[in-house]
Amino acid sequence: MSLSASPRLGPYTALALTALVAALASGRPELAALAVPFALFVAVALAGLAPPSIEGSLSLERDRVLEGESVRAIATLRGGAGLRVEVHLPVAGRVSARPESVVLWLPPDGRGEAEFELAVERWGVHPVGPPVVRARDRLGAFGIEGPLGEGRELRAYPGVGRLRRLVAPLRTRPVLGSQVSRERGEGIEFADLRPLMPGDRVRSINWRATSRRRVPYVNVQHPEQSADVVLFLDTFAEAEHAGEGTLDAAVQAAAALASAYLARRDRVGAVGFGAELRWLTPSAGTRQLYRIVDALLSSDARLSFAWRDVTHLPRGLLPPRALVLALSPLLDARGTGALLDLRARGYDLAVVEVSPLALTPADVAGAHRLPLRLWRLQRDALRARFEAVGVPVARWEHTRAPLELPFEEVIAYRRHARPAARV
Amino acid sequence: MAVALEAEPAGLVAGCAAAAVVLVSVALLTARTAPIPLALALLMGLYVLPEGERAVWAPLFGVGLLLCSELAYWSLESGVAQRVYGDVVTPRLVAVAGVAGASLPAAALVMLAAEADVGRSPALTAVAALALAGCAGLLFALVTARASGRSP
Repeated sequence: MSLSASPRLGPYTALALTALVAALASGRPELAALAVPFALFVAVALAGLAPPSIEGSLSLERDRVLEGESVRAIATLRGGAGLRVEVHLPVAGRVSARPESVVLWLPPDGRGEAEFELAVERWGVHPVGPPVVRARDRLGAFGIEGPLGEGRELRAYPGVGRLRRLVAPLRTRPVLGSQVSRERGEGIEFADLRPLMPGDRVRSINWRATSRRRVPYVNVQHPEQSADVVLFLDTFAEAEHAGEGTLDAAVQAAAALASAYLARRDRVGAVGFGAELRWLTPSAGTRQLYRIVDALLSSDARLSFAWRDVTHLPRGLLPPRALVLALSPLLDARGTGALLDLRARGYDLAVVEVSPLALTPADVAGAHRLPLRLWRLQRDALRARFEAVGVPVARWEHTRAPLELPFEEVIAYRRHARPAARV
Repeated sequence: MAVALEAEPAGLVAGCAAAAVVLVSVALLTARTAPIPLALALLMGLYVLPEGERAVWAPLFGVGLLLCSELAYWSLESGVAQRVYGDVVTPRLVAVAGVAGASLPAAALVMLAAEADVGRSPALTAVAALALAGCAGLLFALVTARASGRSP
């Protein structure tokens, strides 16, 4: 901690010395009398003990919160008996601390606590602190200032919305799950009838069909299997306005999707494709949900020209039969190129366009009218390009529509249009 | 500006007093401490420059100046919106009042010593200059001790 003097000590000293010299030179004792209080103040301030160093630490009530929640932070102080202490807690941009600073007088035992309420406005990993302490002696003449202990990290998780219906994967894994497979085998959902074959169980004989056709027929079912789902997050670019952005919405949607698919015993993985390529191989269970959400917390859209032409995800990153659900604002050619490349490699792909249109200026009559119109036309053309290769693109106006809406659109598209097998 | 002066150029006194008030107001409005010492110097000069008897004694005027100055600096320090735990005002108020209270008899002693019937001589002036240099040296020693982190 650094020691500093009050800005008034210098002027007081100068005033006192000037007045004393002037008294001596002019023979006016009143000047000396006027100088005495200031000289005495400086002498008392200098003669007093220097403020002792203060130690302490910062603790958080919880280090994991949901966005929108508040958490208490307590700065504990030790060792500054009889000091007036001002504690300021620096926080990251999307966290606000109330109050900004706390003032307290440390009692003779030198122990005190300053309490702050941290309101987390956005998901992410937010650095908190370390608290900055300014302590002053009784006269306020000398002070010490410095950080108190170490800072903490506050992990704010995005709120997870509920999805009632999910996009069903075209292909499943031969592992028991909740997804009705397109394959035929043992299950609950009726699929078809076929003649009895050696090895068939007697209880699968369909007696009504058998009696009608006078040949033994058996029921064939769709088995309930699990699937691989990969959440593809395009983080090359984002549109943001007034604290609302496409990346925020995409992360919240990804968290909701991961939660819903994992609850159905599917394996879920995540790929963040942007300035950095990050991925989590698909896995099942609650632990995977925490892994995915933790990975989502570090998602950040950064401008990068490092990968100018990269539109290709490494082979082996995604399981071959996975359903790829892409959440993209469709703003960067590298992200859309990577999606088209995935489709060309035969992946079952659906794109949710986290629309940036609501975040653009409503300048329908001004100078931006024509560029905006051209830009919208370009986006329509891009959407048509995806649909031409059998990829549904559902536009999500995240500022006014619930998350379920684009997925209903994708489900409807997949019901009526059979995706092309391979481009 | 509760200082009543029986000075002859009343316009000059009022003008200086108004200037001091303006300087302190500027300091408080702009949250800068620089104008405060100027106001103090102006008020000191205001007291001393006109000849004549003073209705307010110099010790009392000096203490008043110190208290006004402390109040101005204090106002600038506590300008930030913040939460305050307990009574943080009283300890400092007591400390400043203690210094002010102690300086009142000290300044009165200076005035009494000045009233003593001793003729002005080069030797006495030299002694006073030495005492002044001693004061400055003491202050310097205290500052050095504080800067090196030792308690004096």
